[in-house]
Amino acid sequence: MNNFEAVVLLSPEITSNVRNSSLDSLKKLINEKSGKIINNEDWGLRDLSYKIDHYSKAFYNFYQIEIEGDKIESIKKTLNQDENFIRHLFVRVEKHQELPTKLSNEKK
Amino acid sequence: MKKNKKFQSRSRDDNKNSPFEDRKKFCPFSQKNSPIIDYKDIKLLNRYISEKGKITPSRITNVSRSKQLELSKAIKRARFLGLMSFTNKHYY
Repeated sequence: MNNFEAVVLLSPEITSNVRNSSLDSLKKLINEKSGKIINNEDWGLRDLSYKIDHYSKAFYNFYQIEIEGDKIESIKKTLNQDENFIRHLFVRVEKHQELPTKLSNEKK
Repeated sequence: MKKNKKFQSRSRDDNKNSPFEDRKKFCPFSQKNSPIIDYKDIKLLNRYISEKGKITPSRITNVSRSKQLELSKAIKRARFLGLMSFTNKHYY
């Protein structure tokens, strides 16, 4: 079981309940693949430094996951098909850093 | 000819006139309590890019080779996620 950090960007146009449902579908997808979400963090609406798909703002979500390495490919494929997720990144880490991360907006 | 080469390198060290040049260059990331390079820590990464958003070379920032590799990977990940720009520098 490897530790992964996932950062997911969601388009700003969708309403909040559509956004929550797509995030829940991601959680369900990870649990189906016998993965475990350690904890997650919502960085909220941030403005992007360049336009992605003509959007200049995006909702950021950060997940710390423990999952088999070869399950990530299928998760990426479903994320690519879903048009609510405009960008995602999975990073393998040795051990999870403690939260809050530098970008979390609790401090503000 | 071999002797001449040895002589030439020694003379370069001798004629350092200002005392500032032999200040010991240290890598800001391999000290005892130096910050951890992380693609989410954009305030730290911003210090190592130029005004046009390019990664400054390690010969200027004195960063060691392994840490410069980590730094460039983190900057490229931050750029991919839209946290950092490709073409200019965002001042906080």
